Amino acid sequence: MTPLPGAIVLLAIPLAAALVAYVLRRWAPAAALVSVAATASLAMLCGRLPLDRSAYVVGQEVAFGRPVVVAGRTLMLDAAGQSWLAFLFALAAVAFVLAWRLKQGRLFFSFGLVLLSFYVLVALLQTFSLAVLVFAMSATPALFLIQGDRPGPVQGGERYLLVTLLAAPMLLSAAWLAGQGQLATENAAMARMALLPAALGFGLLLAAFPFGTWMPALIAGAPPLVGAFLIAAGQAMALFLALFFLQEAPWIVQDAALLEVVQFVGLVTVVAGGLMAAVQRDLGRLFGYAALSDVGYVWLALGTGGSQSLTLALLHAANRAAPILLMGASLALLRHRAGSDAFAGLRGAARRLPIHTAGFLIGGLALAGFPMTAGFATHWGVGRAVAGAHWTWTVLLLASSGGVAIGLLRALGAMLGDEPRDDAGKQPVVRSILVVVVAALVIALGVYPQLFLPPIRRAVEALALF
Amino acid sequence: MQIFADFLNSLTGAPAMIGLLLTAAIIFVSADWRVALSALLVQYILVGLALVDTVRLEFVLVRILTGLLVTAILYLSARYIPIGTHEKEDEVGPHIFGLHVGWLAGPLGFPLRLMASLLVVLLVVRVFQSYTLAAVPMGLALIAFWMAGMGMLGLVLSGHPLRAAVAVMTFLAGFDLVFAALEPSLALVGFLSTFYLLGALGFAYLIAAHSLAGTGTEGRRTEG
Repeated sequence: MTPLPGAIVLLAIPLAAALVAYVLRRWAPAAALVSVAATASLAMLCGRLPLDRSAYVVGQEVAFGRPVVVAGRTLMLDAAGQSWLAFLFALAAVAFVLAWRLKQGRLFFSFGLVLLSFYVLVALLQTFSLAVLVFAMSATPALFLIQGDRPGPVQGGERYLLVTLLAAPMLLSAAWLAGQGQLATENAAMARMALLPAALGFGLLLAAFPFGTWMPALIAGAPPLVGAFLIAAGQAMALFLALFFLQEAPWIVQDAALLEVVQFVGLVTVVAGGLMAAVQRDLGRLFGYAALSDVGYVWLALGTGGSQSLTLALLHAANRAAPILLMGASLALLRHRAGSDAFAGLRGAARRLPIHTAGFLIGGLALAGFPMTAGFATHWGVGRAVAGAHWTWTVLLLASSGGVAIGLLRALGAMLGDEPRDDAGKQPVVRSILVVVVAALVIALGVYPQLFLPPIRRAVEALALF
Repeated sequence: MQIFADFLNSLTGAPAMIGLLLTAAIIFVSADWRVALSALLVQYILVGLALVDTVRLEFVLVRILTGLLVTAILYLSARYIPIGTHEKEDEVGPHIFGLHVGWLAGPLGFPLRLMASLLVVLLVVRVFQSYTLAAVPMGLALIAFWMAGMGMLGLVLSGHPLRAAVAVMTFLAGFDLVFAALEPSLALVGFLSTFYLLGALGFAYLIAAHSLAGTGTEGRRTEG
C-alpha cells in the first residue's frame, strides 16, 4: 500500500476535527476533547515522525516528509516546518484544554482548528508568495474567534484583519523585488528596494513600533484566551514567514547596517511597550502592551545576527507562549467575573480570585523577563548580546521591564482594593487547577529554559541562514 | 453585443486610467456608502480594462468577476444594517435621490476630505519624481500609487468597518494594478482572488457584528 503523505495527514486531521467540533459546538467538553485529541496527536506526530523515511501510525504507513503536488503546487514538510507545526499544535492543545472550562465562544474549537489548517498550509507551501497569501487568508476565520459569540465592538477584529490584509501586498512586492535581485546581479538595486515593503509587512505582522497598536486592541476586544492564542501562534507563523523570506534574500542577514536597524526597531518596540504598559488602567491593554514589549526581544535577537541569535529568537518566541496563555487564561475568568477589564471594576478581585490574579501577575512578570520565569533566560541572553555594543540599551531594556512591572503593581493595587465585590463568585476549582498548571510551566521554563531547545536547534539548522 | 464590446474596448487605456483616478477620489470623498460601493464596482471593472493590454484576457475576467463578488458581499452586508440606523442617518444633512450631499456628512466633512485628497495628489507627485521601476508602465504605476494613497487615507479616517473595507479594497486594487503586470502566474491570480474574497467576507462579518451590537447607529451617523 502507498504510504500516506504527511502533508495530507496534517491538513486532513485538523479539518475533519474542525467539522466534528463544529457539530459539537454546544457541548464544550466534547468539542474540547475532539480538538485536544487532534492537536495533541498531531503535535506528537510532528515531534516524533522522521522526514526521511516512512513510519507506521496506528497500522497506517505514513511518509511524513513526502511531497504532494496539488494543482501544480508542491506541498512538503521540511525540518523547520516540522518544528514549527509541533510547537503550534502543542500550543493549540494547551489553549483548547484551557478553553474547556474558560468559555471563549462556541466557535473557538472549530474555527481554531480551521485556523491551524491554514497555518499548516503556510508551512507546507514551498512558494513564499503563496504562503503569504494563505497566512493573510487565515485572518478571516480568526475573526470568528475574535468576536466570539457576541456582536459587539469590532475594533480588535478590524485591526487584526487590516494588519494582515495590508501586510500581504507589502510582502508580495518584497518577494518579487528580492526575486529580481536573484535573477540577475545587475538587479541588485532592485533587490535592495525589497527592504522597504518587507520592513513594512513584517513590521505590521510582528508588531514592530509604530505598527504594534493592534496587539493591545486585539487583546482588549477578543476573548482573552483567543487573543493570547492569536498572538502566540500568529506571530510564530509571521516569524516563520520572515525566516522564509530571509532564505529568499540571504544577503539581508549579512548586512551589518540592516541588522542594526532591526535591533533598533526591537529596542524601540520593547521600550514603547514597557512605557505604555506602565500607564494602562485596563488589564487587557496592560496584557497587550506587555506582550508588545516582549515581542521586541524577538526583533532584538534577530538583529544580533548569527545562528546563536536565531536560536535565541526562536527560543524566546516559543517560551513566551506559556506566559501569554497564562495571562489569557487568568484574564478570562477575571474579566468574566468583573464584567470588564478596567481597574476600577476589578476592586476586590484579588481577594476572591487569588489564583487567577497570581496567574496574571506571574505571566506579566515572565513577559517582563523577571528571574525564575519563562522570559528571564532569553531576556538575559538578548540583554547580554546587546550590552557589548550599547550599554545604554541594557538600561532601557531594564527600564522597560520596570514599566511592565509598574503596570502589574498598579493592577494588583486595584484588584486588592478595599471593596470586595459581592457578585464575584468563589475561586472555581477546575479552572484554578488549569491556571496553576500553566503557571507551573511558566516557572519550570524559568528554571529549565532549554526545554524546547532541541527542536529549535533542528529548525535553525534546517533554515541554514548563517 | 458588438456595441457593448466596442464600448468596453474604447474604455481601455487612458479612459480607464482617468476613470480609476476619479473612482478612487469618489470613494474617499463621498459621504454615502451606496455611492462609495458603486464607485468601487466601477473601479474593479476599470482595473480589468486597464490591464487588458498587460495580462491575459482570462486573468482580466477573473479580476473583474472577483471585484463584482467583493462589491456584492459588501453591499449585502451594508443592507443588513438595521432599519433604525437608516432612520438616524436620514436626520443628517440634505439629500439628493436619498443620498447624502451635506458639507458635513461623512468623516471630517466634505471640504476637509477634499483638502486631504489634494495632499495625496502632492504626495504621489513627489513620490513619482524618483520612480524607477521599468517593469511597470509609468501610467499604471501612477494610478496604482494614487489608489493606494487614497485607500490609506480613507483607512486612516474610517471609523466604521464598511468604510474601512472600501478603503482597503481600493488600496488592494491599486496594488493589483501593478502586481498583475509583474506576476502573471495562474496560481497567484487564483490565490489573490481568494484572498480578496475572504477579506471581503471578513469585513462583511465585522459590519454585521458592528450593526447587530447597536453601535452601528453611531458609526453610520458619523460616517454618513
